[in-house]
Amino acid sequence: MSYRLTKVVPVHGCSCKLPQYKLGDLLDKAGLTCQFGEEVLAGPWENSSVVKITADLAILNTLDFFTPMVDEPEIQGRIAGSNVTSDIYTLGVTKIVNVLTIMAYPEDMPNELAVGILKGFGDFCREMDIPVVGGHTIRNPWPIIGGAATGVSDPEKIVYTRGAQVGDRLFLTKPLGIAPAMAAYRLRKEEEGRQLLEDVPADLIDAAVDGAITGMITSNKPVAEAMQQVQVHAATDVTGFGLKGHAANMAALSKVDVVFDQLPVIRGTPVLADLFGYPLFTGEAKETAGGVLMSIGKEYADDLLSELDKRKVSHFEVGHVIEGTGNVNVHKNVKIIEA
Amino acid sequence: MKFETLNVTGKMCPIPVALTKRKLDSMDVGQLLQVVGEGDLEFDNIQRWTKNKGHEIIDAKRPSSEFILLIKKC
Repeated sequence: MSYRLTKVVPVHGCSCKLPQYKLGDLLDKAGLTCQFGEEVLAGPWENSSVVKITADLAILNTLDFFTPMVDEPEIQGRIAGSNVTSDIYTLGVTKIVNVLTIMAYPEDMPNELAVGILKGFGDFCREMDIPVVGGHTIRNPWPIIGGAATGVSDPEKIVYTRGAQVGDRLFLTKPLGIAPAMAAYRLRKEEEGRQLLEDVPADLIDAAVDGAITGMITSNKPVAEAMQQVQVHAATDVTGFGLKGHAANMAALSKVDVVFDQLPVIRGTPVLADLFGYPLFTGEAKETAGGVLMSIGKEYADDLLSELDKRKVSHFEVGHVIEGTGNVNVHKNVKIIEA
Repeated sequence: MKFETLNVTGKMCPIPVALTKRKLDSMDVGQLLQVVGEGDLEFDNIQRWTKNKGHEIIDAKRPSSEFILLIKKC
């Protein structure tokens, strides 16, 4: 098929997300960062909103959509499904009661691509036991896919981005490097891109691309299951703000500082990040459908790792939490682990 | 003021940064590179990469949707 989903957009996946500072400015000016009533347990800057309905029932709502990361429509649909549901799984909630789809595409995009995207999205949700109960589709110059998910939980069992405590250890469940890997995926399809990549061994590019796509379509649901078994202080998934941006959110909301001394990256991505100028080693490269960053007390860390192992979830210790005022420090000589 | 010029107009990320890097790699310390291009993302990304790598941005102009950056290799 000649129509390439990634060719018709200038930014891809969570890279199309508005920068944090711009979003903060918009919300401030629009008056959407005001205090909420007691029933609102989480609003802006958390991964999902949380509203308490009764003493033992909270409703979680999240909305997420973006531009294509890949040209294969069913894989693209799966990536979007993984990304939408992640915002609820990240709060340690496994029960997503339904999902609505959001799709937009240009008039010249072949219908079979739209069908493929929806099929991939639906297949992913079905495998997670989530019904897709509706949605909305429009014409738009850029293809867009995503959805809105609703989850339910006992309010006492939800893990927020806030709550990290001094002395906590930090674990991340997927290696970083989606942006450089997927840039290589796109560039190797173009003559100019192939020239830029000529010094990079093909098997290294294959490893990076395969690792990135596998990571993006891997659900964070087993991470939520593990978090239900062990007390985690705080968690956030790592997407468009990059590891450092999401960690800054956690640090600011928790009124602590976060220190990273080790970063796991997808095999092959260090050379690609250097080639393309992505700030991978400072934790600033944007991720899409990334892993979950968890902050947990030292005494429970082994139990968490055991629960993750049981579910075959990859995990990497990346740093710790210290006293502070919301800063994130990535060690100058941070250890890079290719996974 | 003598400088070399790189035009990245019409090229999508990450090609503008990659070409800027490749060009600077071929230049001597102290030499100047003018990068001409377009787009917010490309403008921000080239500047961020330049600062991260310790090069100096001498001038950054944004007369319209296009941009002109003058970078000193350090």
